Amino acid sequence: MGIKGIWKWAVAGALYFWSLAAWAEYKLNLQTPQTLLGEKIYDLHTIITVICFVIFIGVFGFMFYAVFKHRKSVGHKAAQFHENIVVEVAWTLIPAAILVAMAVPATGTLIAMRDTSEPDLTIKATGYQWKWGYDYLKGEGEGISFYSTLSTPRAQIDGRDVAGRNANPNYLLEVDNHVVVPVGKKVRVLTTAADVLHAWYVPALAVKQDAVPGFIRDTWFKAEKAGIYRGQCAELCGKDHGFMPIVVEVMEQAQYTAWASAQQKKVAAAKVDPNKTWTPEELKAHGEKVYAQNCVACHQATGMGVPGAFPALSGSKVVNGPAADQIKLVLNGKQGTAMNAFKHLSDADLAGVITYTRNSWNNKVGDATTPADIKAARN
Amino acid sequence: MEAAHAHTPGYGHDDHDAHKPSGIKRWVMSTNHKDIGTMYLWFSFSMFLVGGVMALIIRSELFQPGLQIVQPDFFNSMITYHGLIMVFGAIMPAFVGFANWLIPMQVGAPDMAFPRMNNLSFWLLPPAALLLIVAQFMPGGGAGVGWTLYAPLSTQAGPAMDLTIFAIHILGMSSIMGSINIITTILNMRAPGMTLMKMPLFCWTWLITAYLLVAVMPVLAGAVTMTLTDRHFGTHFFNAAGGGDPVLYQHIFWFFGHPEVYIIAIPAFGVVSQVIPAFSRKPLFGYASMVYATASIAILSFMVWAHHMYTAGMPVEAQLYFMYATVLIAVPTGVKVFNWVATMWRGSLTFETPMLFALGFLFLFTLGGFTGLVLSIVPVDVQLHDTYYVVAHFHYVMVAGALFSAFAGIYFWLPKWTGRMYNETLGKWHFWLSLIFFNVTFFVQHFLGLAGMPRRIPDYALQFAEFNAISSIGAWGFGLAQLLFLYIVIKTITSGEKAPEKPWEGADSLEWTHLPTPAPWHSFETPPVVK
Amino acid sequence: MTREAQFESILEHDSAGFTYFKRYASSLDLRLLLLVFGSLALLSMVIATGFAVAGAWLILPFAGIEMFALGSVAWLVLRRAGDFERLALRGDRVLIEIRERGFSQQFEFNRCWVRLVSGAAGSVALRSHGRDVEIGRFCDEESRQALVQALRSRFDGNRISN
Repeated sequence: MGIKGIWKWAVAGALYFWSLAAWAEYKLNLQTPQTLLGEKIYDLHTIITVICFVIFIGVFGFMFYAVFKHRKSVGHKAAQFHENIVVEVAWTLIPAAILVAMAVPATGTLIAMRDTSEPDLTIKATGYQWKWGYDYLKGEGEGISFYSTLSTPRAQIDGRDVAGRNANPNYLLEVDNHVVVPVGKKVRVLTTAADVLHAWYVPALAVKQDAVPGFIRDTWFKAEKAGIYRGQCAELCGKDHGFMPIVVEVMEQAQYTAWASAQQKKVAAAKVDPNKTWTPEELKAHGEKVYAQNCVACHQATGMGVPGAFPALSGSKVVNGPAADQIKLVLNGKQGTAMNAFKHLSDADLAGVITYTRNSWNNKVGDATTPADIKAARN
Repeated sequence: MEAAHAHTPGYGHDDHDAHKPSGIKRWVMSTNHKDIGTMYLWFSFSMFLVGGVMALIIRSELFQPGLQIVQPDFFNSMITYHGLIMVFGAIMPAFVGFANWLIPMQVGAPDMAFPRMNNLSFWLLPPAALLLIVAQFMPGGGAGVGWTLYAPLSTQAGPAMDLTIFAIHILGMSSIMGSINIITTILNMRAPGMTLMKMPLFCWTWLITAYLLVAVMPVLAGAVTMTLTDRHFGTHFFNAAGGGDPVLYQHIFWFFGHPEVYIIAIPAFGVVSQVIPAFSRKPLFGYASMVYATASIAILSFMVWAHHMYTAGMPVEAQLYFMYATVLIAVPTGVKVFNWVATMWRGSLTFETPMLFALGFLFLFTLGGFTGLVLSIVPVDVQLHDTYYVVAHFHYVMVAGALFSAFAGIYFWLPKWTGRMYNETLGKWHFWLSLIFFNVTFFVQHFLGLAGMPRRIPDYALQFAEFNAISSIGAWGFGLAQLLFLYIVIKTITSGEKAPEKPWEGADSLEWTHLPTPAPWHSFETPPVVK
Repeated sequence: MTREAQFESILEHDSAGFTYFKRYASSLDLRLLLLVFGSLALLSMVIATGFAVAGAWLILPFAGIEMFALGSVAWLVLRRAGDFERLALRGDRVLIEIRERGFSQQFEFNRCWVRLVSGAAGSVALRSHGRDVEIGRFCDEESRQALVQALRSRFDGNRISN
């Protein structure tokens, strides 16, 4: 009796949860889709889940009937049949037919999903350990380029500010620079990576595409409604895989135009004159910013690294040694470690960050590396 | 004339173990299939505990948002080695243990075909396991790259990665030797009259599994070796900068990895196919179609590998092909489920612990199969790939599938192996606790995945908090329930009630019908006659 | 577990004569075994070659090692497949037929001249006219003793020497 009761509860519980999974809007199902394709996928998932559920009930209806009616304790005697060709053929062919019926709508959706032709806007998303870089390649806003890094304060993550965490609705899903796109426009996203695999995943826009170093993949979406949609890196990429979110801000066309032209102006203004002469202080100040964006995740703000995982820069032999060696290391990375090549940064950025590291914490080398040094080392 | 002697040099030196030797020598030098089977099972259980502790570290960290217990690097190392240890250290050796114990008895053979090789293939496992554990203490910690060891993250990892690669090579050698031994035993050591189509289904499933294993192990060995040469010897197989392709690694890995999934699942089908008829007191329904279905699953498993990488980037035609081929696997898998249910239909069922676990398997494995079907549909998978939905899916297949089936097998054959009965009440407790906590742990993970929580992250956004907390509580419950299992087994061995000759009315394979309980140390010295 | 475990034996003795027969326990599905091993070797070669074409040639050596392993095992199985030992006593004739690792030998002795001798490490041989033929070579200690017991009564007129 006890066991029978538990079985009943288990079944009832499973059914209850399953029905929620299929029908509920919030948390128990896919996020509310914001694209037409996303809606198709949502419906496809619902249909398949319902078909599976019906078959599940059918098959296990038989099983539980047998469990209750054909048990020895109610005196049921075992039949000895062990073959029935008709039944066996039937339960091979019928599921096959059902599966074909499932595959047909899936095929249509898939082909639509892969059609990245004629986009209004093309953005390249580059995965770095551990942030995203965006370049607006074609369409309105062409030339805009920025990095997008997690902006959740460290204190909330490591538990020094639990109250702040609990009050933060976008905990781990917020970045400094949003990817801004216009509403109702087909946006093609090219994905690639600088170091290891990443994946660009925004559930509400129904896109997920791996970012593969050295290769370009693409996907697209057309948001139907303005809003902010949040996703995360979906391919394990090392230490801070869980801390490189993606935030897409869909704006009304007019707003987007304003945003894009402002950004483009900023880009033009921020373009550092390659012939500018830097003072050591300027280099160090610039380098501190570059360090905060690129280096701090591993080497830490204190320059002490993480013992056993990432080496300290403060007191490091390389940083306190000849500048040429450090330049080479930063440019090319160190094979077989998490230290990647940072060739993609500008001469000024690299000169700044090297000057900064050589003259901060316990490091007092006292020299300044100029953009010209970097330029020379690149060749 | 010494001619006859000349052909047998040293004869007489290697047969001192006719009487059971005592002490450690019995185990270290053992060539007895039962002793080796026992060692495989204990090894597997120890690894299950090690992997389980890792799982609990993961779930404890995920109990609440924020980083409380471990740092991201260590977390990544835990997910990696939890996977590797559970797959290669716990589940595979468990079923090899069953194979060792049962195949010679079920085909009416005296022992495995190559007893000495059998010894070697077991004793390769502990050093490999040790390497995986030692890897945690290398500079930089364990390799936090995921059990799939995807390049180029694995190229970048610390020295622990090299130990891991070495361990995988050793495990692979062990698997190949074990598999060749099993194939030879099944094909060549059957008793007169034991035709292939009379063999218990467990033997059939292992024949097919061993075939798959031998076919795909070189692929895994090659994959990790190329990772090694990329790391240290300047090759560029998976390095785009040198003309390689990181996605090639994924193709290679999953060409091994998908058959591997069935390498784990198929012996589990075999165990369940012994247990369900025994407690239904009715022969297995559709024996022949079971054999064909298993073989079809094995063949199809070579053709669907890329469904693990729908989002890695491939032509739409390839995606369509892999979707159709994957969906097709549901047909033979369905046939198996229908056959098991039909076996129970109009039987005379009783529900001792082995049967409960077999039913738990049937119910939850099918559920995992359905979520697999959902994942096979490319557009849907694009939403769910690398989320907790996938984590839930494969734990339904691996834990409620393979592990529950292994539990069913242990309870089923424990009386035959030890001559003692386990405690039925405690066994049932073990089942119900496992069943409930398993679902508490993993059912909610479907919702997390649907809502968009990526897998392999040490910290998560607040909207995922409730289900993660529930899942972590379930994991602790599930883990503690397994200590009950350890207690039950030890209690059975040390002070269980004496088992009757044939504790299960409906069991009909040779080990039950032709051998006393407990099974003698030597199985069939004279072959049984099978009608 | 030893060689003994892999052999089936028949030991019959009655007033008319004595037959002892022991052979490798094998269901002799050798062709099937070779088919399975052969197809496996072929399959893993095809897979490895496919990947080699795609650029991942390092699977080839492993497929090669595996082919070698499969080949060795097949050779081992084939070599011992026909192994047997037969000892028959008919009247005064003692017939011994041995096939070990594919190598066959036959001996015929006169019962009156045969003696049981024990050799190194517990082995037992029949000696006649200075020739020793080891018997019970596929046995473990226990069943060899049984064989010796059975034979001893047949040769009770002949002295047992060391």
